[in-house]
Amino acid sequence: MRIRLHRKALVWPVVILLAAVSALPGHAADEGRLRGEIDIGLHLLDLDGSSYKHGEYSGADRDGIYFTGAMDLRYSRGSRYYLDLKAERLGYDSRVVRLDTGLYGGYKLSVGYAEIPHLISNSSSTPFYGAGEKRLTLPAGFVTASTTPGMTTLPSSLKDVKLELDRKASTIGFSTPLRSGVDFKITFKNEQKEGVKSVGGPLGSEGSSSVVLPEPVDYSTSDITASIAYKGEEANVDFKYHLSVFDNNNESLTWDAPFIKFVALSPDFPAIARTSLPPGNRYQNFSLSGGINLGNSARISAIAEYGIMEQDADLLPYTINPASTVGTPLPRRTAETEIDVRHLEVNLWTRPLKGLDVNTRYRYYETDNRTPSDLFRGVFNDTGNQAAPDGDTAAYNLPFDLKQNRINVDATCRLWQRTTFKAGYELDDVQRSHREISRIRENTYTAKLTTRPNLSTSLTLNYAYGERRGGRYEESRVFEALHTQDYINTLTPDVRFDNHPDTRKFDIADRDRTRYGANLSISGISDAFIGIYYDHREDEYRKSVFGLRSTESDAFTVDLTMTPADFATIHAFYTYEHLSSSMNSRSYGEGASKAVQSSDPTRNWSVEQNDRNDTVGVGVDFLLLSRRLTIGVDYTLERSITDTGFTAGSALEAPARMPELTTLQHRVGVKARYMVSKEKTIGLEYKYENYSSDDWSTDGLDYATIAQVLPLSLSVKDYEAHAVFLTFTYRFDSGN
Amino acid sequence: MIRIYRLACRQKIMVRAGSVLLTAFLVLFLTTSSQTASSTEHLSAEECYSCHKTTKKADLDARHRKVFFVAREGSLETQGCEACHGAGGEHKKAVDKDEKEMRIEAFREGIGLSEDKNGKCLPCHKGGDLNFWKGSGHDMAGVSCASCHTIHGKAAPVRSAVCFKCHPQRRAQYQRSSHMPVREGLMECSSCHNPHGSSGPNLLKKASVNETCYDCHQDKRGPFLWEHPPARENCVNCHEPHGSNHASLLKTRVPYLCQSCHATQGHPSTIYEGGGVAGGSANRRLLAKGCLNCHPLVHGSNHPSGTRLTR
Repeated sequence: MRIRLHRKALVWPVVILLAAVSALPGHAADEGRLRGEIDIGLHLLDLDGSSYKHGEYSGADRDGIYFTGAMDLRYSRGSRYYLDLKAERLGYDSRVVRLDTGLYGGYKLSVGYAEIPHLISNSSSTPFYGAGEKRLTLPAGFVTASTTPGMTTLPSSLKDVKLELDRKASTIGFSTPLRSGVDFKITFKNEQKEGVKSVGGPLGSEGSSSVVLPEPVDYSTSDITASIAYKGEEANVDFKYHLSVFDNNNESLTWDAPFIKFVALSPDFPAIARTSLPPGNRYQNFSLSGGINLGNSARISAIAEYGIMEQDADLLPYTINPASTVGTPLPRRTAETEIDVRHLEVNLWTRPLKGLDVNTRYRYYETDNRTPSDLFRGVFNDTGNQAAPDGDTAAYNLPFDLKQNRINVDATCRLWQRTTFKAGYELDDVQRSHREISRIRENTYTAKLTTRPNLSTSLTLNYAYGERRGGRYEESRVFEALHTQDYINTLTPDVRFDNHPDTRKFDIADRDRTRYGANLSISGISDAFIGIYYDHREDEYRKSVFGLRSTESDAFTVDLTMTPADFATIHAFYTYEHLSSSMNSRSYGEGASKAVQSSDPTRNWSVEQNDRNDTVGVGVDFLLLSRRLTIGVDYTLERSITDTGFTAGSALEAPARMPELTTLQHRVGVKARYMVSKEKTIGLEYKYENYSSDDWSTDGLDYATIAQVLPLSLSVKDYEAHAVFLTFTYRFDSGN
Repeated sequence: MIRIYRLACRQKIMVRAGSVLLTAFLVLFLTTSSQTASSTEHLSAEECYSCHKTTKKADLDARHRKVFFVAREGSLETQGCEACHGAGGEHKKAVDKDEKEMRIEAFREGIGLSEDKNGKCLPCHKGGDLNFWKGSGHDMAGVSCASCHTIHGKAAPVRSAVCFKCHPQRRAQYQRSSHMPVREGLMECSSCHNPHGSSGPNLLKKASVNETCYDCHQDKRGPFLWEHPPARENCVNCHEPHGSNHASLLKTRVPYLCQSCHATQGHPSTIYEGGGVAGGSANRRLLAKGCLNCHPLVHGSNHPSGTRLTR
């Protein structure tokens, strides 16, 4: 093991610790009281395999020594003043620091800082220079080719790229009572998100090639939330304003094309191509919420919200390829997109009789898309010329919107002592524009029985059934809205569709939804707790000839906690979950074959995916030496297997099953903490992790494996990690 | 004779029944009277702490201690422990543990004077995040404040482990390869959900699934020139936010997830089977990022030629 000291990780613990320690004598001298605890320690990591998965959210993905630090300090003076300082994971890239101060019953000021790293891959390479920037260039002398094996200089040009994102969020908040029952609060948050992730960069259309590119991430989001709230004896009102401004410092990604024309069908690929990146946007929300108690047996609460999402970034030109002919200017200079959100929710809770609660809720939710619809004439991925006015790539942008009306009625009735029955009904009515169905209604019925025959036993049975039905499903609604009439007129009536007309998109398709489950918990037998949980969910799309046909899941959990002796606690759980989905489709070509093949049932195929997941957790904790020594041992196992199988009609080749997707994780932890004195505790912990996975999307892949795709990331590396933590905790209380 | 005997028996039964009812009434009356009496016998906080030493220690850092013992501001706050637990006289007098537990306002189910376990909390904790508590899923399921919160001790956010006690399936899902950083402690269930009731679906903090997701994923908010309708409407159409075996929290594997909706002429309607993996034909629509090799902007595109979400 090569010991590497991550000095950068030392900065934060030292700064915070020095600040905290320097505060000690000053505060001890006055009448205030300072108490709390400070943790410092070392984390020794030996990582075999150097997989990013180990430190996916901590940043600890390399061998070496990390400093650890945490603190929880609480200072108070007089009867009302307080100051709390809390910090966690100071030595890692996931550190959090928060300071709260104020007067009890008075003002409150809080300042916070938090980082969240997200490692995405450390097995990625690219031939481009400039990874992390908005211009990617190929090295001089790079041999472009129509396929990846033809790029003879590719192996020597590859450079490692670490895909990772880092969020750094700073917050400051202030609140104060303005008068009795009225509070004002304002918070400001700024988040920087930086790093590199991946994005596909295609060239051409049919017969296209693609390069997976390192995408620069340089986001900044500022949020302000201000509210004024009144809380009275029987009523409360809250008015809130929220503004969120998102900026992306990179509006697009421009890259040299490593591919040249692949097939005769495609025109020449450009030398340079450009991909748009998420544009900056702004969101505002005004909300008025409140509630009134109508005696002890009724309460009405409601919220009315109005939100505006808008984005008006400059539109990029159709292409940056100088060889492409663009005859039509953009219909507008900027995006001009806007969605207004209107939301009203009214809830009435009543207790008409003792033991009977009835809740009625109404929801209105609308997204009103005010984006103008224009005809854009496409240039596919910087390849070729602008589509003719009647081409299939000339399309209108469609401002989708939605209007939802929903009403729920739920009643809970106490049948007898410790037994309740809950029944519910929900009607959900959703209208959509520019979709294949304009209106859908779903009726859902629920029932739940809970009984506690004694204080230590509880049994719950639940059942729900929902029936979603829409009007006539018409692919032509979208097809005719998207394309020009000139283009549609060029097609014979039997091929005037993009998606096969028998396909039903699952989010709007007719659906029967069933859910049932049972929970049994028993406690108090020899200080043990046993919980057994079962949950079944099933969605059937009976009218979907093509598309998703069904999904089903079964989840079963057993939980056990035991205290066999005063000094020992055992806990264990096992969860089994099985998920399956089934979909159908029909393989058909374009052009002359479209009409014939799209109506040929021998070209049907189906796929069924089955996920099996087993999760096991076992642990034991000991309290020894008059509770001065705690020892804990934990083990967690996660095993996932995805199996994918097919059937195909006689006109298609017999399909082969996919290799299994598997993930296997073992985690073992042994920790001991010994309280040397009331003030001092030392800790020693050992953790072992073993991760392995098989994934056909990247396994066996090299940069020249796929002729027309130059990938960025290869397989996730398996790893084995040994970690040792040494910690010292110091507790103090200036009041003692 | 027989008739007289039967009559006498009936009278005996009636007398006995009457005696039982009278006794029951007296017991009920006396019990009720004693409970009423208990409300007048108060204890000071020091008297409570003389027995509840562990609670005293825990209360040192409790927010409630500040409210009820240090920075008292109203008539309720001056009542100390009894502000929540009611008068403690009868509780102190009770002999055994079971009796003590029944003679005080307590917050665990099955013990205490009142059945309404939240009745003492809600008069103070109202409005704001609790505006929709009444009638919420947790309220209607009989979940009490004390089911999740520790009243004595330092005010600390409820950790996800508390939620997993009733939602164990989520605990397992967060162990999966693709997950949000909940098991690492960087997020909690309460990062997205408001367990106290909300105006959104499934106790989400915001009015819709997407508005909740946009809180952290502002780059997906748009709106975009070219929208992908199911993505604009509900992120959960394609993602399983609690954990998945598939990258990016996807519900199933690409390309099949995409083909669940897209059966367009040509390659979207083609079957991509086991022969297309590396070592086989190495199909460009199956491997690496699958459909997203060429259609990466599935959350929406702002490019004027982005109609097929390719750039």
